Amino acid sequence: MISKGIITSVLEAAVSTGGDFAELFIEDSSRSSINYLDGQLESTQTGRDFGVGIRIFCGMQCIYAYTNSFDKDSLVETALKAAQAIKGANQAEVMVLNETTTNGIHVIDIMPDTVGKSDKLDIVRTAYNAAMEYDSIIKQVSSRYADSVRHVAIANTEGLYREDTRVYTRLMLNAVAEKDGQMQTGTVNPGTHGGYEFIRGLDLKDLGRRAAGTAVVMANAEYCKAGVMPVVIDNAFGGVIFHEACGHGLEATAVAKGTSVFAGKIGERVAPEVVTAIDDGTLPNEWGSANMDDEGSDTKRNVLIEKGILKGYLIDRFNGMKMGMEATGSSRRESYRYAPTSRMSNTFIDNGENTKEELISSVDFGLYAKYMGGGSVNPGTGEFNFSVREGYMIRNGKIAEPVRGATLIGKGPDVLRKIDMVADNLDMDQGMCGSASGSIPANVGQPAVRVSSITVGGR
Amino acid sequence: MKYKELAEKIFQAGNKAGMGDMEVYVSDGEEFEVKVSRSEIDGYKLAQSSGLGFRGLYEGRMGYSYTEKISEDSIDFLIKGARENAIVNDSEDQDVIFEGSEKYTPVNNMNSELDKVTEKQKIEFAMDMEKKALELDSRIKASQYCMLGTGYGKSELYNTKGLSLSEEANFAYAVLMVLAEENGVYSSGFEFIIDNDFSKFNTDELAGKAVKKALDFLDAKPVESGEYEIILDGMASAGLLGAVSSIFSARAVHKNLSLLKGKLNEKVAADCVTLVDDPFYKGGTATASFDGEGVATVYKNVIENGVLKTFLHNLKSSAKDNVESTGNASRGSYKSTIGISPTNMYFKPGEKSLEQVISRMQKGLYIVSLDGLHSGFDPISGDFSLGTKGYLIEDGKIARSVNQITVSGNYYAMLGDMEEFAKEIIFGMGGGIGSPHVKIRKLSVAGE
Repeated sequence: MISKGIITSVLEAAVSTGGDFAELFIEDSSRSSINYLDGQLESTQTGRDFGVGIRIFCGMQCIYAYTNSFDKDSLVETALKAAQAIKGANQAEVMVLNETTTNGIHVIDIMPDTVGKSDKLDIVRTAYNAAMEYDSIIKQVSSRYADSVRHVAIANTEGLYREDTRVYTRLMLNAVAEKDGQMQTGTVNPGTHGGYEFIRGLDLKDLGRRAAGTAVVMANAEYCKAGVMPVVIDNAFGGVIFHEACGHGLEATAVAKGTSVFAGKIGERVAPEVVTAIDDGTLPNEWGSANMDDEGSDTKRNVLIEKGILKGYLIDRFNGMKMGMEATGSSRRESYRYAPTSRMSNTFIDNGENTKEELISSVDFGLYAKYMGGGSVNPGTGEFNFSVREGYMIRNGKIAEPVRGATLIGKGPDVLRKIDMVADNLDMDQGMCGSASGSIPANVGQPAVRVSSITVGGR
Repeated sequence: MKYKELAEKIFQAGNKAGMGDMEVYVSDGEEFEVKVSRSEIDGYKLAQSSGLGFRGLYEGRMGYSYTEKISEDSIDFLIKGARENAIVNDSEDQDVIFEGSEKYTPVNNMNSELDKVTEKQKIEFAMDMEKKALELDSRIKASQYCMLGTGYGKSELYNTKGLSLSEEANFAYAVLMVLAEENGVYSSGFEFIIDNDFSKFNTDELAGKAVKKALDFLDAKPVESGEYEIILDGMASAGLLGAVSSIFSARAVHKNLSLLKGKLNEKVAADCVTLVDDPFYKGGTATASFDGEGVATVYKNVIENGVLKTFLHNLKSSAKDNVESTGNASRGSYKSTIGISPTNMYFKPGEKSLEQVISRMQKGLYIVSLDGLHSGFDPISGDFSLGTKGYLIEDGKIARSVNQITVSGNYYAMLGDMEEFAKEIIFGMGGGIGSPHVKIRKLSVAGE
């Protein structure tokens, strides 16, 4: 991508004003996307992202600069300009770059940039048709495909040089049902840190049925009545609740500033004993996985909460220095445009001992959230909100009528303490997580869990 | 003019590859951002970015491609990508390359004074903003975000029909989010400004507002569930309008994704509602003289006194409806394909102040923020159910603060329930979309 000689010159320029550490992140990526709507191509794009990010530390100061330039002079100039922001006394010595390979856990069979557009379009069209044909009230389907092949190289003044290729492929299906002038939607978005073989292995008919199924059920549902009640949140994307309401508060970005409700609570009970939560960036070919993080460290399996006790945070190098703690292989960024920071990878609540049926039958009156939608959280206060994409009332221990428009709100730590039953059907789902270092692929996951009481918004 | 020369070379190569009309869109930008936490520089970012978007016709069909490596080596990649994308393009209506409008209304998005603000001043501003917030009240424990940024962007458009357009803008923004704590209860407050006039940036004002917002909600509690008269804060209303704005796109109408389909010249909102799309709004973040296809922008009422007057069009959608383009072709960046989006879009203000609107309310809620717009709001159905906080109003006065409630309704229905707009337009953080505070007949609230 860029020669080691040039990299060394740029690193030297970066620490020339006394920086004690500098790092280069070089990215050369190809991207391809298709948006198919209304039985025809809506748009398709092919592109190349290229840029270099330079990060300099000086004590507890962090400088970041990026550029799309690629010639030596421009890169050195960018580094010098960034270096002007600091004046340090412990100028790092730029060590000889020593290239190390990654463990290569995530095997890629078919590079998506070697597959033609018409092949991809066939997949997208087949999925479109499957959703469209599900029911006559399905009036519109958007079927989208996206892949990226991201070649990255990371080098730092400590002599680290590592390359990695991150390959993401994903299909996104959104179905719209219309009934009595009202529209309802359903969606499935399977993705992988893997090659095009993932797309070829998808059961497109089933995906179409799932997206359209939710839309049809919701189109025939009445509005959810608001109230405070027990809620059973089913597996896979249900894990978005832990991701948003607790996971962000466990990221060092929030912990180091002291603005997280979990700051200073290692070793303390933060959840009932049934709750164990893990962030694992090593799971083969999972959406949030990588061979190395964006500082060049191996990704890891990090236990966050074990049997209700807070065990650890997700820590990057810079916040680790502030906190006096080791980095956890959790430093991630959307692209060269962002300085990396601590982020989640594949984050999930681990299996418990109950069955989903036991959870449902334990509730006299409550809500069953089969599929969750997205949500957001304020990591300082822990306040969150989530939409329920497909929900049902639970009456006398049985799943009853479907309800639309339900929202779950509350405070993360409170809700975590109210998880009182955990089932054994752990599964994961794919999302894009937006935060300080941009929008990155992240898996959420959990088995079905019961929250003893939560505010359900509706009308 | 280096990009114009490169564009010529790309066009020549495209010609050889059998392509028809072609277009190159290049953007260049510079950015600076400083983040402060606990009186230390927590983030400091400098950026210089550029990218080139290409599109062209092959056998009458449009294909797109882009690159961030702007050099002659990328020409093959661009042509090959766009050609392949054109070949699979089975859409019945195709984009066109535009020859240019007769007249463009000039806009000025550059403030030369902004260039004179030094990095040192910017850092001091961010430091001062955090310091003031922390000093205002001992219950303010930390700043969650405290940043100041400035930037510059230029875009150029060249095509084989002889069109050559360019536009530039500079901007600055400051963001402050503070965390308050009392007796183990946390609350945060947020304030920001986006403008290219740095003289409007005031640390006292930003810190004061953010701190007040945080402190006000330390003792907040829910209200009883039920239907309430609502005053929606301009910022919250702008957020909702931004999330739903695609329903005004003719493309969404054609694709059955807007319930406004078939409602042109019909009543879709209350009499007091006039929704403006204003590409010339002074200081607006979407202020521009031409759109993503090079069409001259125009001012228009989308909704006028409750009646839907026009959809937003680009060249493709307007050809389908046999109307003129409204100059709303969007091109989010060189990576984007052409779509449709509003320019500066806002509800026309009324005459009363917020205080006057509150004073005439017997019992209701003044809602200041809506959370989870990207998840709790379905712009297609118009249904929303969102976490929110605000103030309970009793007998024309603010009685207390309220949180941990959700507000729900349907946007289409809400347009008909709008009763009055206050006098000042407030633009949301996303830029471009604004609203005054608005009184709404009723919305459903879930609390205790």
